[in-house]
Amino acid sequence: MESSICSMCGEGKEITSHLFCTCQVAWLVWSKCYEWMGLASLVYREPKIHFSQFRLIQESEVVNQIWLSVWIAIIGELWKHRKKKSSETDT
Amino acid sequence: MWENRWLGDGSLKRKFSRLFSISYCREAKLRQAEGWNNNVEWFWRRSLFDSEKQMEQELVRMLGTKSITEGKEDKWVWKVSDVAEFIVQSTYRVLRSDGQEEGVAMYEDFWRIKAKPSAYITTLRVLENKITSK
Repeated sequence: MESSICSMCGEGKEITSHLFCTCQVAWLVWSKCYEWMGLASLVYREPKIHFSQFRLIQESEVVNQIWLSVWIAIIGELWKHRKKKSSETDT
Repeated sequence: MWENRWLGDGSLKRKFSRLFSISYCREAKLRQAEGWNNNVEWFWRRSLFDSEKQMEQELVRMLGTKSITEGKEDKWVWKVSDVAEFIVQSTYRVLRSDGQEEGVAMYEDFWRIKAKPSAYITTLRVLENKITSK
């Protein structure tokens, strides 16, 4: 991925770990989820770690699989949003 | 002793590259190395600097953690599988996880999750850091 400026927040470098983890816009979405799950809002820098931490220890595997599909859906939506934003700035 | 990976994370040659570069006996066998601390001159081409002396101590310490079994032939051990023998499945696991143990568990979770295909693919790319911006 090219390291231009992030088209979602207009700050940070547009690299994978920024777009999906540390970007403020992405972060708003993640913190909502954490609130929903009842977890502390931590910022993970690395998507793999973020993914592996997105679960509730007290819950069953089945429930956690649902949370992980939420994670995947959010990644998909963030990426869609980012594409939309960057085409807006291009025109 | 220097080339093979038998002690610690990598070969001793890599970990103690400076010492290796001044070692007299780069093809040293382990048997020769054992008990060599009484006989330091034998090992190095020149006297050691202070920083190298520290490395030397570390090397001696590491060598001291293993002992040699007499009368048994050396053999290769496949460290990735539990049974210490080469099996294909273990190789597959290593390749799929890029050598990271936690990676295996992560993808086991991942393959079971149901999600929209496009989001699924994006996520795979994100996790493998292979997203393209254009």
